[in-house]
Amino acid sequence: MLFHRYVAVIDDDESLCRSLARLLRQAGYQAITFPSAEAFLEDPLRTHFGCLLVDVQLGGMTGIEMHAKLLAEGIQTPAVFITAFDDPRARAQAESQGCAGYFKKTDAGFDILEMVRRLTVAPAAG
Amino acid sequence: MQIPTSLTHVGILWSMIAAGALLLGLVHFARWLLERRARADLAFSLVAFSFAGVALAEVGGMHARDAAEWGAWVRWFHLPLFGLFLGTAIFVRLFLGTGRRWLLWTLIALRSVILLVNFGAQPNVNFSAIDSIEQIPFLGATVTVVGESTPGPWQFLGLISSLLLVVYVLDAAIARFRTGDADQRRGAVLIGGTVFLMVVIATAFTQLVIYGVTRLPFLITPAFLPPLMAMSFELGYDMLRASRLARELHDNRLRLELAAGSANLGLWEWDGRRERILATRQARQIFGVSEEESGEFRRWFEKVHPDDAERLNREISRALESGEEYAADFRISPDGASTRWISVRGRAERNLPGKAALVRGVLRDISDQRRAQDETQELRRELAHAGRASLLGQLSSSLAHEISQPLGAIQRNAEAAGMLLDSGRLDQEELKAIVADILRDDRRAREVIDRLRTMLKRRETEVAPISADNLMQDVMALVVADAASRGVQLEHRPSPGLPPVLGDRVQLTQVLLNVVLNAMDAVMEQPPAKRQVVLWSRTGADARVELCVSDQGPGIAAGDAGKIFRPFYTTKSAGMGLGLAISRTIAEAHGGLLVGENEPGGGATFRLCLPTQGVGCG
Repeated sequence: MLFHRYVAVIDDDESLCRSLARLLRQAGYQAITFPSAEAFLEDPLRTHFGCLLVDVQLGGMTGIEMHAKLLAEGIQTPAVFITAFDDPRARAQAESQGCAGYFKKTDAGFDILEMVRRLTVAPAAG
Repeated sequence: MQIPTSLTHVGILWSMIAAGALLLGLVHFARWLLERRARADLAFSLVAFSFAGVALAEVGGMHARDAAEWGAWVRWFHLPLFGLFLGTAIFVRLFLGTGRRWLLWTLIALRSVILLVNFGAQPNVNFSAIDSIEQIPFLGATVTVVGESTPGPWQFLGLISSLLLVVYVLDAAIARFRTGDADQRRGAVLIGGTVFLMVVIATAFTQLVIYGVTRLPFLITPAFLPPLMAMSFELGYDMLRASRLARELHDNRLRLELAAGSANLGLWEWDGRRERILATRQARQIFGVSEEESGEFRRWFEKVHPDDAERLNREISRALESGEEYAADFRISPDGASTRWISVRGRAERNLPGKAALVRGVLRDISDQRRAQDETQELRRELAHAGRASLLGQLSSSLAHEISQPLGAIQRNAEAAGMLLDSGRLDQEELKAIVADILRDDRRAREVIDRLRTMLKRRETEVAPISADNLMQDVMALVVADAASRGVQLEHRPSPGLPPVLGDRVQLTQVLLNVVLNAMDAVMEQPPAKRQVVLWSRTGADARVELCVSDQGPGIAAGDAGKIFRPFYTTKSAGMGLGLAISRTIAEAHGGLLVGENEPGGGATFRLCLPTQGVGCG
């Protein structure tokens, strides 16, 4: 399942997008970055990802709203939320929607990678 | 003519009157010697001396043994009479300050002519011949009077001079009476009245004697005694009044010192001519200067704090040069250890061009006031600081966001670099890009922290010129993340041409931040399309600059307009209601003001009006 190697990174902070993508590439994934939820939803290949790494607080639509929308479209791609605010209400909302994981931006990247590995078919390194 | 060897008791009486007049004359002459301005006293002493001379000449006549001797006495009698006329006329002019000059000169000229004629004629001006004398009883004694005689052809001159004197004195007295105060009116009546009456009586009487109608001695002495007494009384009254004024002046001075002392005011005076300081007890106490030392300027000035001495010196020198008022606050050390704040204000007076003669001043110990002021300022700073901390608390989540973004990126980049190194592939380009990203994110995080630290620091107020746009950029940097997270469109419209405002950057940022956060709260009640807040600025009244924050919110509720700046007034569930109260205090401490008004088209605009550099800051 080749497409499982594709991971979408959706964050309005360019630097954060780039660093996460870089880390994923080092771990052997193909990381595609999107600056907003709207940009991702418009992408025709949006169903073709093994996993989504989504910022909760985005410029327009929030990550959680985007996830709800995907679920409504019947897209079950596992979503991992990464937030700068540890807002319990947002977290509760995300978990009730059945998110795959919930991280803070300052959490170790390796933990996020570990989560991505579990959610996707383990790829061969390199 | 012989000096009588034995006097009758009339002679003794006349001599005593003469002696009394001489004494009076000496007293007033002495007063004139001591105080040369008292010229009326000099004129009076001339009157008194002449009066004594007249009395002695009369005594001489009364004791004459033959007609020739009697005639000689009358002749010499005219010398003191000249002095009496002259002295009286001059006294009237000096004492009453009125009297026609031409009348005075005419009188002097006429009496001089009489004197000349008198000493040129035989036996004198009054008689062309004295044929006999008679002895008559007078006041219980036997005195010599003129017997058969012929009046002189020029003796009518004496009559005219008496008339002139009467006219002159009456005119002077009436003029004084019309314009003078109560004391001057009394003087005019007393002197004018007695001189008028007595000259009329004495002249009439003398003429009767000269024309042989009555057989009596000349009696100028008793006739002129009342005017002499009147003049003496008026002069003495004048002296009494002067001493009463001096006493009142002294009393007033004491009263002033008492009032100043009880208000804790010290009075001091520097006399430039004598180079001495005169100071009240209170002033000496304030400065801690002893009474003995208090005359020397140096003793006072050495108590002034070295840091303030030059400024104080400059201020007083300026007043000395310009002859204007001065005011200064400065520190002194009365005992060499403690420090007191003193306020001085006063005026320099010059009576010669370029040379200051006098500096006067009022001293006040304002240490307590100063301390209270400092404490108030400290409190205001503390409150402003607490206000900033609270504002940043409102921003804490967006600020955490702003810091955690670069921190998270740094972490991922570092982890990626670690993995790259572990893999053994030395992709130099990728490593360089990672390091560059890390450094950039580090700078980003530091900027946020610096902004926070600036706002949270406890600090002294630093007033400096700053542009409205710079202030607004500072505010934008702090709230832009919060605005984004709340979906508020925050816009700053720069106005590059405005003059810089004067103020403390952090405190002014605080005011704007407060207003912007309120505006953002206000628009949150609106649909997303109307969530707009605009920061803009313009030139306001009095060359001030107005920093404006306009929102599209519901505006200030009608009942709230007067209350929103009150402490602890809030329409929000969270918040103490201190933000705008503190903001207004800050604005006013900057000599500015903060007002909020509804816009006709909806929404509200808050304006922070601030003085610019040219206007000065209150």
